[in-house]
Amino acid sequence: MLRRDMETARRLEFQSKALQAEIDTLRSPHTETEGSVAVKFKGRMKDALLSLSGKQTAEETMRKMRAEVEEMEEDLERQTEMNGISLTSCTVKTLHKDDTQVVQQYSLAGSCLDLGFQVEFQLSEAQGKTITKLDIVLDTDDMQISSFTSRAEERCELIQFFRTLRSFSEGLEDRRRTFHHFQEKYPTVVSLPEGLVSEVMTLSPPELPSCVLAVHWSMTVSKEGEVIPQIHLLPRAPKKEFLMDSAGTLEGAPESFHSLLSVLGIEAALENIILALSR
Amino acid sequence: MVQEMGSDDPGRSTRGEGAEGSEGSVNSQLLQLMARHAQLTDRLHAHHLIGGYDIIETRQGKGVCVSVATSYEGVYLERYSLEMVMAPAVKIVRHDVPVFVPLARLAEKDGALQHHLTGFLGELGRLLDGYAGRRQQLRLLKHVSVTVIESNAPCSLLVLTLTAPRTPPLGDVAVLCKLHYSDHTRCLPEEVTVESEGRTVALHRISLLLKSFIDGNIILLTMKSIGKCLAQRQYIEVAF
Repeated sequence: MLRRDMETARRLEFQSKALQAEIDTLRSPHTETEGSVAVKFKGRMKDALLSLSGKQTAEETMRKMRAEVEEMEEDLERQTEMNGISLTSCTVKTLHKDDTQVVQQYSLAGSCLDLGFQVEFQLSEAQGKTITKLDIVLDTDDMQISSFTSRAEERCELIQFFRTLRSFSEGLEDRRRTFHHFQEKYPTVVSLPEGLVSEVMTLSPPELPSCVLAVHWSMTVSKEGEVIPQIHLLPRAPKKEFLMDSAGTLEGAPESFHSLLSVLGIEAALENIILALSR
Repeated sequence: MVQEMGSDDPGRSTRGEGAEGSEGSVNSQLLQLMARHAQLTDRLHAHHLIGGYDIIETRQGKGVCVSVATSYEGVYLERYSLEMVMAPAVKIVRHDVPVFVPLARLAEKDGALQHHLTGFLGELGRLLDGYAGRRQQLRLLKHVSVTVIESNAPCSLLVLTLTAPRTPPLGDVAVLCKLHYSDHTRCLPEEVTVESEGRTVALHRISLLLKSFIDGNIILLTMKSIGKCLAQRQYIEVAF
């Protein structure tokens, strides 16, 4: 009995030391520059340590810890939904720490709607917080956002980048949803020659398939990060087909589309043109 | 890593049974929870740093409070908060947004507040960023002995004076600059007027070259060189 108690005590002590070592690794992975890492624990984490060293009952600590982790999971879900950003990985490294400042390196990966990103930045905390370095990799072929992204990197504009990324992805999502909707609703008139994730949707009357009107919907991003969708209707048909169009529907389409856009909005204007072609 | 309990006890080959086994599994579960706790803390902090809205529920779930972050060239500035009730319609009940920001206009534009909350907050963020940025530029200018004579509340109309040196034996000359920012989301002025010794030059829609210089300290250097040219009765090439 006594031997088992002593063994238990030994194991607990070993576990406690192993835990301390693991916590150090979790909190600051590469601080070889420092002799020892002081980790301050508060709340549930402190309870947990106390429990593991036998100073508090494990079940009680466990219960409270589980409750707090659940709360944090819910909070993270709320933030994810509200911010429109889903983080799949997040690592923090302390690069430098002294009495005047702390410099940390953050590596984030995630997506905004379906647009994947990898962002690395350095955060310096002295009198206030400052981003001192920013690197961004975006998983998109769309070149419209690249000049804004380079500028944001130069000026360390982390917040502004994510704000624009949100608008940009929302715009892309709008376009995809609208294109998909019209392709499904009017399969004889509408086609997507470059797929769903493209700028172009083509329209042609079923009886004159070589007579094509192309909808160009691009997401322009200004240097300051303003996202402006630009939509044009352009004819893509040989001249003689236009002559065959006695009603003048095709020839007048780009202009009427333009005026419909400002009055009815994108979806209604597109619907209008498509219906005109279906007749 | 933590050792499993019971592995060196020959009388118990299965783990997880009895006092020692359950204690071991409790400890390893606790470890896992602690790891998850640390991971969640980091992710929540990351959301905050990238300009997330830090949304919290208020009024027993009937309301929410969000905060909008601002920064200028990587320096974190103020956060502005809004509290909203969500039903029967979305309505802002409290906020600390400056009074010159057209909150009502933004909210009503295309029904943004009702149907596209993130769009509304995005636009608001851009306006607040513009204001915070211009104000930060003013703070930076003070360090390089530029005097702000006049500034309206949104920092969109500014009158500054500075002393520009000239080649000796000519002495220093006082230069007066007026800056007008018509787009409140931007930290670059659309119009700059420079006056010195009775001569005035108005620069409309600052040329691209000047644009890249108009920034914190550099605005001073630009103004000084313009002032110097004016003072020496030279003509300035203005590209639109």
